[in-house]
Amino acid sequence: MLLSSTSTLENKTIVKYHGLVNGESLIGSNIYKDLFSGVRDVVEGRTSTYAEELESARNEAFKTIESKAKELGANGIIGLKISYNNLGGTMGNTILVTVYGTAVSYK
Amino acid sequence: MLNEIKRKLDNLTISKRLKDEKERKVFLKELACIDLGIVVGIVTYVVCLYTHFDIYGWNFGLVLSPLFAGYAESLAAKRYLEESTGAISAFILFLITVVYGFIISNPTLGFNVITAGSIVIILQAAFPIAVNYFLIAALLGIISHVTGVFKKITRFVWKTYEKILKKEPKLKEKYDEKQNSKTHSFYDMELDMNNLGVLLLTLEDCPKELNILEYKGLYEASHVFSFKQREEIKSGLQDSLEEELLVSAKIAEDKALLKLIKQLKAEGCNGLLNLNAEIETLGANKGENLSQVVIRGTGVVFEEKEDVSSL
Repeated sequence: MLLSSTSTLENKTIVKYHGLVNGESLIGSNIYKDLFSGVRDVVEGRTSTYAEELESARNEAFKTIESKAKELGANGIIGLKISYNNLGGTMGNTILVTVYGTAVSYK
Repeated sequence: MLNEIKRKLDNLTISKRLKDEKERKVFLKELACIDLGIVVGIVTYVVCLYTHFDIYGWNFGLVLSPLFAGYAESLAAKRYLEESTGAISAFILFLITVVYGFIISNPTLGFNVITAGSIVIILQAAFPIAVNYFLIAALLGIISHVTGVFKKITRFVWKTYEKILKKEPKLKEKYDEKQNSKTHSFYDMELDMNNLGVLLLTLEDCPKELNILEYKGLYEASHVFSFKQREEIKSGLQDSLEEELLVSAKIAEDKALLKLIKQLKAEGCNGLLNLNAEIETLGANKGENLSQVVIRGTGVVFEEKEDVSSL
């Protein structure tokens, strides 16, 4: 599955536009994750817990969008967009990762 | 009824009982039973003290004497009065033994594990039912607080119950209820958004394979959704609540998209260019977080070509 953030694919011919595909993933507010993240922040100078969680959430959203595109019979996604939204919270963060794009068939 | 209860209560007072000959006899028998219990209790305590029936300096008489006193009193009361006198001698013995054992006999006794345990055991002997109830409640409370075992058990039982009865998640129930009541009948979870007659494209420029006949302008649709903060806090400990929130967000996205498609179709569009989706947090109100999904893009009319689009 070819993933591209561009509107066109150079040297390729798009034979069909299938339409919108989207995938979402969520990092729930976890007070323990937040606590450990804070500790690591001090000890190592980086928030690796969050980084790992974000990467895992992004991968999950990509998996969803790819499987949806496959269901439509597409072999590529163009005009790909990713957004991270913090939905807020009192004891931590709730980050929603949204990935969406246009499913296409190309040759 | 109230007057009758008042009369019975009046009859219970000692002065009233002493005036009546029959009541006086009963009263004296009760006193005799209590006295017998006290004597038996004191004898037991003396024997225990004399024989040094103790462990680490703590005499068993502190427990045995109230027990024996109460037992003797109850036996005598049952035989001569055919009713209980309430083991009053046990309580009196409890006071006597505590005053003698802890204050008179051993004034230098300090507060430690042994004396604390002794107090608990003595109280248990004097007020067995009340203390047992308290101990059970306190013990269960401590175990539950430290290990969270009861919460785990109830959660396991609830999950098993849901599994056996194939109970659907709360959100699904709410969704079905709304679907059945037709209040949200415009939305179907199984609906294919790409099969509604509008080609949705995230591309900024028009693909060369498609011809645009007309630009209709900017279109935007939004859908507000909310979730409770209390549940959100707990969600760190329970993944199912995260799923609930994710499903809520997905439904909100789909609903916003549906609203946009309806607008586009109403205006005669069959395509949308440069589709953008945003999720914004609007704030929190009374423990409830409000967010909205906004979807916007440029509505266009494509020349219909079966071979390149899903229109």
